[in-house]
Amino acid sequence: MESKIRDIKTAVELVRDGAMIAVGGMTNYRRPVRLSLEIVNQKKRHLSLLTPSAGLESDIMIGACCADVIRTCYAGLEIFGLAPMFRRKVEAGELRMVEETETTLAAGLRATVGTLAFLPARCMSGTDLFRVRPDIRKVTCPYTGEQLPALPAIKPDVALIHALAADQQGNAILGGNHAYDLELAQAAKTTIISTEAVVPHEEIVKRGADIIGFDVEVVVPAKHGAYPTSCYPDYFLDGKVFVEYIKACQEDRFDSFVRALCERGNGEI
Amino acid sequence: MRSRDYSVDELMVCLMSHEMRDGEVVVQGFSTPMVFAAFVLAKRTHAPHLYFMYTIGNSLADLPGKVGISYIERLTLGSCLKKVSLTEINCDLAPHFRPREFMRPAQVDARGNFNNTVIGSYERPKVRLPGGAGIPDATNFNDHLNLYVPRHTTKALVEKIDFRTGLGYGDPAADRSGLPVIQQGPNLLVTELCVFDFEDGWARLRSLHPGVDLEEVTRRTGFSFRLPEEVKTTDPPSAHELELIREEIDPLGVRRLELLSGSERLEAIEEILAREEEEG
Repeated sequence: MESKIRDIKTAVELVRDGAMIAVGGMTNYRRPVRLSLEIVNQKKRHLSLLTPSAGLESDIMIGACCADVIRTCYAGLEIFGLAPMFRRKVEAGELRMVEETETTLAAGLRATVGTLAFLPARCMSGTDLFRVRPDIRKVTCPYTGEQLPALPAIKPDVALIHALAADQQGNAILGGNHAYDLELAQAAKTTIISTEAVVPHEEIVKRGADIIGFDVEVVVPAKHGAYPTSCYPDYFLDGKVFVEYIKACQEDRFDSFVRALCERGNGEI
Repeated sequence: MRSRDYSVDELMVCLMSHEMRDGEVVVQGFSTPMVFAAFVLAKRTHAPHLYFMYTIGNSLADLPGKVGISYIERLTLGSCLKKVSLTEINCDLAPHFRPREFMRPAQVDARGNFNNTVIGSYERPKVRLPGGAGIPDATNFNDHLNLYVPRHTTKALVEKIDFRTGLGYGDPAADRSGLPVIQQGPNLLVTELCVFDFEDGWARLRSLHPGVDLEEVTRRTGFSFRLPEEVKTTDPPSAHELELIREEIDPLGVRRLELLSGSERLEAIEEILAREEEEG
């Protein structure tokens, strides 16, 4: 089979304006930062961002006006604090949040993977979530009669995932902190993997794949592609950059911060 | 030991630690270093067979570690018992284990319902908070939940929450028996001033921390709470607990970040990062 390796520009050109983009990794760990910066570079617009937790990479896409909608259950920089651009845009009414929970996202992705329209789960009841998610209906359990939320299938257009290693066919190793990445790769129509290293197929077999190439359309070599988030065990998160980002946003230096982070790429940390 | 020999973060870590039982699973969410310190303290004192379920790391582990920021994956991934995925944690393992959990609400009412979504109206919030993460899930099935509030103010302990992210004991006007919910609301609410439990689903003062009087708690609480026949005084931390917290579990003081905000908090983070870089 033909190699799936492409350069980052060609890969991100597959993302259409208005698409639902699934962002892999979680909080400050193994986020597809380099791919997200390329989304910013290519000035994508009207995206919906779907992610189990929106971190620095999503906040940058939001700050750069790439997204109209964020579909998540948590947006923040974890121990570093609130996500500044997310907060600013939601409070100004410029970004719509589709309120999810960890379970509504996981069940919605599992429903897609299992070719179902929904999955039930024990969540949301007795909270205000139903009020802000009128699209979520209830289903009666045929065995107990309980009224459970019927969580609708989630079908992302493109998944962006960063890997430790991948071969030319997209068989990829994630290490730990899998987050929702396996389901994102399976549920998305197109999956783009950026990877610290492209390695021979034999090495993936030896170490064991987390994502298999069947679910992957494109592989992008991107050394330090998760920086400043972590890519354990290759590198840890760089907390100084998170602090720098928060200060830059407070002082209206978002654009110059993002430019500097882009220039810091090309394999250099 | 005199009452001023410890800080409020140390006291709260000890109180949370005391709620953990040997052999059970405890889970840590996002940005809760006090809870993490409490796990490790429990593991190293009265609960040596505790299991940790790490959301960050997506793993199950049973080795005690050190609280930190930069190198947390060394512990949660480098020396874990089993790697899992976050979908497994949320859909399968959390309902299965019903792990001991401490959640930190932005607002909580007298019935233990709480808010981590927005301050102000949902449609045009004054403050958009990070969101509920697993709160609307866990409050439907987990009977091992507790709440903690490091800054006890009338803005945090309120008569009416702006958004119900987490179900506590519900609303007296709406019977919760119709809900497919298999737990009964939080067990405790631990604050910097006192501990509340819940009697018939309503907050009741269980104990006042040493040096705190009832007048102060009443003044700084936005909801009315019940009083027991006798208001006890919270047990202070032991010298051994304090030594473990300060010397071994959290020598960098990451737990204190939960008491800080704004530029003071950023400065404290920078100090911790610099010390971690130095120590490697």
